[in-house]
Order: sequence, then structure tokens, then C-alpha cells
Amino acid sequence: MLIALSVFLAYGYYAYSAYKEAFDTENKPYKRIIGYIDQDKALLNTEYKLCDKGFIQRTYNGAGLDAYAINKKEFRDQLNTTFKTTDYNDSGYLNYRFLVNCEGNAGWFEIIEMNLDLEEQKLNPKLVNQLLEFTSNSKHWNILTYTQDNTPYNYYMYVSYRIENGKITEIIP
Amino acid sequence: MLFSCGSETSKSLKEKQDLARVTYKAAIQFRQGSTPFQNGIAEAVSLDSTYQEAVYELSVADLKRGLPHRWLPQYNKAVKLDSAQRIPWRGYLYLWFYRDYKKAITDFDASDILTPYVDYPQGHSVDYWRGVAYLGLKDYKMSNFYLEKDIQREIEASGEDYVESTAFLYNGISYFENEQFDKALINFDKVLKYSNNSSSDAKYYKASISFKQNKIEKARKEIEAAILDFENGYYNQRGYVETLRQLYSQDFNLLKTTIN
Repeated sequence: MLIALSVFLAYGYYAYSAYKEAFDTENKPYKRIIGYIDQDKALLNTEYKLCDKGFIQRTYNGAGLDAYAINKKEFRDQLNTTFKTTDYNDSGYLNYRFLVNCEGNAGWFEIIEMNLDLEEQKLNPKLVNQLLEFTSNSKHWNILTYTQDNTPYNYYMYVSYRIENGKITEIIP
Repeated sequence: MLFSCGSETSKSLKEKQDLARVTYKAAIQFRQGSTPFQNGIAEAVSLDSTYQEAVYELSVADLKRGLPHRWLPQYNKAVKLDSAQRIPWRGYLYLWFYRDYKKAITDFDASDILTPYVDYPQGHSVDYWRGVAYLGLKDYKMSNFYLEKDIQREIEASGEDYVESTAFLYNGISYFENEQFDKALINFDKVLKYSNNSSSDAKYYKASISFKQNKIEKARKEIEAAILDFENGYYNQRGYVETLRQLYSQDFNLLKTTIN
């Protein structure tokens, strides 16, 4: 009985140590979860506050279609009425990665500017700012809630615009 | 270093490869993209740089979380290790995550040369995916060509009831766009046949055709049925991203208003 208990405790200690070791990032290449947004460095990071002690949901792949207020068609239609395609001739992808708090307010933005080969490349700053202004407008984003008690939560979202000769041809996801 | 023991340099190639697989399996127990997941897999790759599955897996979280500039260079390392598997797969990713239809088709076409058999990245033949990609490009003739090819192959191999219903749907949409309404209707009816008569998409397009053919009363009934299916959740969608030609409530309402 004593031997069995000792073996059990030794195994438990080993498993715990291995688990702890797995989360240790010292001298390892990945210091943060993939997709981590550094809130101190992010754009538009002061206007709103995160709820629930800053806990962020939907970090696996973003909130996707659930995030668009009304639905994605509404988002696309709104964009088409505000975005002037004649102002630019850029081509590439413009990705906005951001957080939406439990009140549906968007902030904490990171921007990735790329060419159509998905390589980082600067795009027209006016285009980048115009789409930042549009994307960061909180009216486009839903308040998302836990199904069990309807409590709202903070979530991660990204929007990728595919742009060809100044025209937005695709919005992803 | 969960399972490592002994000197790294003294291990044989076989021992390193075995240890890489054990390390990888331990790492993927953690959440994809988390630090123990990524670092564990990175360790597996450091033990065996030819471990394609691990090299590929390091790219996936970047893809899903909107970091394409990091995804592609890592993904292409896996392509170098197994181009036959990863090029058609990359076509699938270009298609859905980047809506780059031309690059997707290039990768699907490459699979014709890379392997003597028809590839099935993510569960569907490259012909199915080419049909979808050409629909995205608005090249409806080519879309129909590849979807017909896919449908025929599946019928011959397993029977019509084994054909993916979205193959009929997209095939119907491409025929619809080319105003080949008879062929479009055949495909939309197949969608309904194999989905217990529940598909708001198929019914939406049937209503559109009826309207274009001036069969107004028929169109009215079809759009009402389409709306009911939509409200009950029977509409074409997919995980992670919007699907091609995804329909929304506004689309149904607009068609209903137009018909009436």
C-alpha cells in the first residue's frame, strides 16, 4: 500500500513538473501565444477598458462571422457605401487584428500591411487609416455573450481586406 | 524537454526521429498556438528537421489567427518536405483563407503533375476545389467543367448519394450565372434531394430562376420556402470563414421584395 502511494505521488510530481516545464518559455522560440496582442503597444488602446480582468475569449481563430453587427453582408454594404475605390491604386492584403470588449467597443489594434504574395509591404497610409477608421467603428461589432448565462465577454477578432488596384475585392473571414 | 534523455549529439538519427515524434505528440496535447504547443513542436523539429507534419503544424495557428505573413514562410518549409501533399493543401488554404483564386488554382493544377492520382486535400478532390475556385473567379464555364468532372467521378466510384451536396450547389450557381437555367435546376434539385428538401440556397436560386422565367407565383412559393429554411438554419456555411456565395437575410428579403 505504501509502495503504491509512493509510486502514485512520484508520478504525480513528475507529471506536474513536466507540465510546468512545458509552459516555461525561457530559451525557447515562442514567448507568447500565437496571435497575442500587446495591449501596451496596440493602436487605439486607451479609449476603452476590457472587462472580466482582461480575460479574452475567441483567441483560437477570432470571433469570425459572429462578430459582425447584424451580419457580414451589412458590414460589406456599409464599407461599399463609405469606401471610395478611385482614391487608391494599391494591391495587397490589409489585416486588422483587434479586441472587442464586453460592451462591443473595438480597440487595441495591430495592423499588418502586405502585398498580394503575403509579404509585408507598406500600403498607402491614407488607405490604411481610412480602413482603420472604418474597422474600429464599434457600431460594426457585436457584443458576444456566454451561452450559459448571457454574460458578455471580451473577444479577439481579425479582418483581412484583399485589395486589388485600390478596390476591396474580398473581406475575410 | 519533456521526454529527452542523454546527450543530444550522441543520439542516432533513428533515436532523434523517434524522440521528435514523442515530443510532437506531447506538444499537441496543448492548445494549438499556445506556447507549450509551439515550443514543443519547435523542439521536435530541432530534433528532426525533416519532420514534415511538425513543420506544417507550426504554421497553422498563424493561419487561423490572421497572421499570413508568418504563416506562409513556415508553411512553405513544409512544402519543401512534401510538395505532393502540401501544394494542393496550400491551394485549399489560398482559396478559403485568402480568397486568392488564381494561386489556389495554380496549386490544384500542380497536383496533376505531382501525383499520378487525383488528390483530395481536406476531403474533396482537386477538381471539386477547382470548380469552387473558378466560381470565385467568375469563370463559370471552367467551374462547371471541374464540378461536372468531380460529380461524375464520385457517381462512378460510389454513387450519386455520395456526392458532396455543395458540388451540386456550386455547379448549379455557375450554370445559373451563365443563364443555363435547365442545368442549374437539375443541380439545385439534386441538392434538395440529398438534403431532405432543406436548403435555403437551392430554393433561393430556384426562386430566382422562376422569377427570371416570369413564373411569379412559383417564385413566390419558392422564396417563402427558402426563407423558412434559412430561418431554420439550413444554409450553406463553413467554419472559420464565410463560404463562397454565402446568403444572408437581406438577400432573401431583397428577392422576395423584387418578386412581389
